[in-house]
Amino acid sequence: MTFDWGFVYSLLPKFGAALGVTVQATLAGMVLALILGLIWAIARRSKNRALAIAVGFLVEFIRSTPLLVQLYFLFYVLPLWGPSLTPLETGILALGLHYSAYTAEVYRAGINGVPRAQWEAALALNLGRTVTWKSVILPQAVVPILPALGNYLVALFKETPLLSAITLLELLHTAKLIGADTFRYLEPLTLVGVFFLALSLIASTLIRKLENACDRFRQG
Amino acid sequence: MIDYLPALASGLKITLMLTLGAMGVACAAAVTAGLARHSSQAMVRALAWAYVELFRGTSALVQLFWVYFALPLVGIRFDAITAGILVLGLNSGAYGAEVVRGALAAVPREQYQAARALNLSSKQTLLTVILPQAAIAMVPPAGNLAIELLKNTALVSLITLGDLTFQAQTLRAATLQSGAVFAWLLAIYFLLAQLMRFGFRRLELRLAHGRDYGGIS
Amino acid sequence: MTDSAKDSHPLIRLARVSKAYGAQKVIDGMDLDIWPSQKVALIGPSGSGKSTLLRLLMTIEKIDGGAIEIGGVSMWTQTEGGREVPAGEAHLKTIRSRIGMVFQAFNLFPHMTVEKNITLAPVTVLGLEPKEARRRAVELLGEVGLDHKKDAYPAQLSGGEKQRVAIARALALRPEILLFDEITSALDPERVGEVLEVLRRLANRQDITMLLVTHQMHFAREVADRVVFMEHGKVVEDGRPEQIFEHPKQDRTRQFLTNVLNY
Repeated sequence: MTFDWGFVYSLLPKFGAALGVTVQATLAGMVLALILGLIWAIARRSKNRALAIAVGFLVEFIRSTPLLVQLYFLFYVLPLWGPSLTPLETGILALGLHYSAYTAEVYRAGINGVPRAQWEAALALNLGRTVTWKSVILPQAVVPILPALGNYLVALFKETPLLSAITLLELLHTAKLIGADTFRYLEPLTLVGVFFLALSLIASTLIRKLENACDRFRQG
Repeated sequence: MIDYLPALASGLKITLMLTLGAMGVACAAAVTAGLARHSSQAMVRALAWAYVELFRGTSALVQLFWVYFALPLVGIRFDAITAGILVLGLNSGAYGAEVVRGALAAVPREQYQAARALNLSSKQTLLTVILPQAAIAMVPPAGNLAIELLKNTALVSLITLGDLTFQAQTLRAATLQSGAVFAWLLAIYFLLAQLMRFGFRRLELRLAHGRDYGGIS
Repeated sequence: MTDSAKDSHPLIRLARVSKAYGAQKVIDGMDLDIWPSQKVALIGPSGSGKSTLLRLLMTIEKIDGGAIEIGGVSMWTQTEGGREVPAGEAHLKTIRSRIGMVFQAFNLFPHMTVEKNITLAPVTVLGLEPKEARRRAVELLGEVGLDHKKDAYPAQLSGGEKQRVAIARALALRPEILLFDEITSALDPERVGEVLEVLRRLANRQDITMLLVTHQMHFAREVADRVVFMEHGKVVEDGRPEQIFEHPKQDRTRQFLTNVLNY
């Protein structure tokens, strides 16, 4: 059996739609991860010790268990309690939740990197908690960690094939279905691999550029 | 829960086998590729770079499917467990290679110079002077990678290998008690991860004990 | 309230205040009264607790024992239903609204323009209209001689300019009490003068009470109308600048002044 380029071209339209689903899951998942991670990071600094410890445990728990199992949990168990979500929504929720445990750590490092003196200046100006976080601390915390967040965006993107396990028609699932239909796995699966490799390489180049830009910002 | 035990126990065995086997592959791949990235031969460096980028640039599940479903079509056939150990190990090893490369680069230049002054060969220098020192810096990130590896073993359930996750899926279908089954499953993975974290922390403490460069601090 | 009643309690009162970091007592049962519009220089050897005192007054640090009152109002306690309870954030905010602080390392917000640094607090704390806040920011920048720098970022300013912006930022909240924590220590010597000049003008204002920690005695002498010499977290000597600098009563004060002035 040889690699059939004609077959590859005939597959492209199907993969176009699947790529759309993958991109949608990636972006929505990342937005959720960015928001939840920030909430975890701030809650872990709470004066309420119980809350801080509970959130710390939650983050550690999410980080130490497989995304696939979390995905199953949300897919099979969530509908028993409440609203049933579409596979795409479940996938976005799982990706966002899972990666929020990683972004929380990144935010934490960023927040710890803001000098104490900035908190003190905010206090001396009587800025409230919200203004201090929103206007003083976070803008300074986030810029240096943009490259790290970018790396997790790429990592999240690479985990979207897992959503095939809950029947979502993203790239990998599409490839598998084509394979089952045509008994040709080599071309579709290779194509998926090339997609991911190409997009990952482009993304890491962009992140390296971002890293340099962030370094310049810090020196300025 | 009692009813679940036999199935989960057999799944646990597969999961542990996969984790340990893949950790072995990962270590070998990481050290080889990590050293190769420092090689004086451009060809060797390029190969190591290609390996690292290939495995880090595509996802573990895609790699697993490719090896298990696509490779047989060109005549290369692995059983599920071999495919699992190989792919998860090589995937983790690609991340590990970066750890090794970074740790080697972090050993002070003076250590190479001191070894040169003692007339050690480059192989002796590497094995007796550089690697033991770099090992300390490798342990914490290696611990994180090991936990990522453990989590990745769940993927093999998608190539029909009877690991923990696969057994849990079977149980769920049989008992329809999705909540209980997956809650137990999450708890077991969490516990395994904590055990690994503990183990790596012990290792780190042991390696770090009594080390300094004997220079001016 | 009549003037005499207002004057019957000091603007700042410290009673048996103590503060320790671990086993180290930094402020040790300190008493001090400061009256409205006084310009007080705090001097003393490093580690004598001067800066800690300012940080306690700014509520950056909490006292371990004793009491601080601002205008007769207890800082760390409030009465609730007839009982004394620990001060809540709202109470502290009210207290803090009367106090401003300028730091040794400026502590400007590096990601904001000079103007935004100054307007942030008036807009969010005092609820000023942004337009009005900007107008006042320009006015304050004029007072410190930097009206042309309103769109600059802190990184584009010299140390002396940064410190003058920091002073304008503190003034924007119209505090009654201004705390200056070694504000010229981080400056190049030739930049000290411009900051000192701003301070001198502030010292003439009756509506502001100033506490300044400094290691530069000429500074204390020029700006202050009262000098407090501290050591080991206590007041050793307290008097008018001429008296402290020319006729110190305590041996320890004399010794300290001889050391720093001969240096």
